[in-house]
Amino acid sequence: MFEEILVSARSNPHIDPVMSVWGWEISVYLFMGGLTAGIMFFSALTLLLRKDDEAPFAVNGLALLGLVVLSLGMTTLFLDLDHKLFVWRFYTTFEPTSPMSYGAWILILFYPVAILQVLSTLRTGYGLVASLVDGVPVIAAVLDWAERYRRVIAWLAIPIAVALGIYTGILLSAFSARPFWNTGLLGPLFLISGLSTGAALTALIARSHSERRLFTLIDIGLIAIELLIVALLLVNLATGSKPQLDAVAKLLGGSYTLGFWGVFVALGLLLPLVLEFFEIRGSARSFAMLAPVLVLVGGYVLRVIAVNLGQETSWTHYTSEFNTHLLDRLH
Amino acid sequence: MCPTGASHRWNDSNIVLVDPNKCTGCKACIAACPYDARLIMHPGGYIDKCTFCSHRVEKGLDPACVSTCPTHCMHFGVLNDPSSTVSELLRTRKHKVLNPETGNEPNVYYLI
Repeated sequence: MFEEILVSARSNPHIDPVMSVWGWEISVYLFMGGLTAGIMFFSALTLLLRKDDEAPFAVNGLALLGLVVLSLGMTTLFLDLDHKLFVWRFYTTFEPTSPMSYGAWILILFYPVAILQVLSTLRTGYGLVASLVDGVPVIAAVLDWAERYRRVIAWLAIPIAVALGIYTGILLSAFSARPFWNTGLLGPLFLISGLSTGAALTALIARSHSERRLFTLIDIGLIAIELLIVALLLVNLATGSKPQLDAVAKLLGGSYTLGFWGVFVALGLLLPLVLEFFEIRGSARSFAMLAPVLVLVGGYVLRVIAVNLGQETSWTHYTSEFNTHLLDRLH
Repeated sequence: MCPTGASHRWNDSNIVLVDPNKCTGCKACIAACPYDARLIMHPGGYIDKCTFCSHRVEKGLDPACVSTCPTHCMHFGVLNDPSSTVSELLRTRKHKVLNPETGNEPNVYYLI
C-alpha cells in the first residue's frame, strides 16, 4: 500500500499553533554567549585598570573560562542547525542586513583575541602550565610577545566582549514579525545580563576576599540596572500594540507568570541582590555561594523565557483546523 | 535576515527563492516571516518556501496554482507593466494585503 502524505507549508508543527523552531539549544547558547561576554569583558577591564592585586583571578585566569564556555555554547548552536553540513556557508559571505551574519563573524573574531588574552596572562595565571611549555623557545617567544602587548590585547577584547554580549539581543529584536522581541531594550538587556552572569561566576570562583568583594559590588550594580531594563521592557509591552499586550498578559497572570516572576525576578535578580548586599555589609556570609549561583540560573531562565515567549507572539493569527499532532501518528 | 545569502531575489524580480546549497538551516528566516510562509524541508534540513513556480514563470507560464484554479480566481503577472492583467486589476478593483503593518510591502494582493 502506497501512502503519500501532503503537508502544506501551513500545516506544520513548527509554525502551528505557535512558531517553535528554536528550543533549548538556542537558550543554552544565548546564556553561554552572554556569560562569555561578561568573562571577556571583566578579564580585560581588570587588567586595563591594573587590578592585579585586588582581582588576581580576573586578570590572570578568567579568560580561559571564556574559551571553554563559548565553545560549549557554539556546540549547542551547531546542534540547532537543520542543514549542518553547510555550516561553513556562514563564512563565505557577509550580509550587512543580517544580524546573524554579524554574529557569525563576531564569534570567529572572539577566538584569536581570547587566545591572546590567555597567552598574555598564562605565566601569571596558570604558572604550572606555563612552566611546562616555557622550555620550548617558540612558545616562550610567543608568551613574551603576548605579555608585552597584553594591554593592547585587552583593549581589543573590550569591544568584542560588548559586541558578543549585545548582538544576540539585537538579533532577536530585529525580527519585526515577533512583537515580543521587537524592542530596542533587548540588546542592552542581554548585555547587562551577560555581564552580570560573568561577574557572578568570577565572584563564585575567585579565592581572594578582595576579588569576591569587588565582583559582588559590580554584580549589585549590574542587577540594579537589569531590574531597571526589565521594568522598562514591561512598561513598553504593556503600552504597546495588541501582540505586545498579548505577550505581557502571559507575563502578568498567564503561562509565563511563575517562571518570570518566581524564578527570574525573585530568585534570579531580587534574592541575589539582597544576599549580595548583606555580604558586602559583612553579615550572612554563609550564603555567599548562593547569590552567584542564583544569578547564573536567572540568566539562563531569562534566555529560556525570551526564546519561548518570543516565538509565541505574532502579527498574524490563523485558525488552523489541521491537528498537527496527527502527523506524530505516522511514525 | 539570511546570514548566508541563501534567501535571495530571483532574476531581479520580487520572487524570493532559497538556494539549498547556501542554507545552513538556522531558521532565522522562519522567525522573520510574519506570515509563517517558510518551512523546513525534511529530511534534507534546508529551508524552502513557495517558489511561485519560478521554473514555469521563466518559460512564460503561470504558477501551477494559478493555472489549475477552476474558478480562475488567481492572477499572476508583472506589476511594473501597466498593460498587464494584474496592473489593470489593481487599478480597477479594491484590494488589500495581509498585515501591511509589518512593513514588508508584500506583493500578494487580495481583491475584495
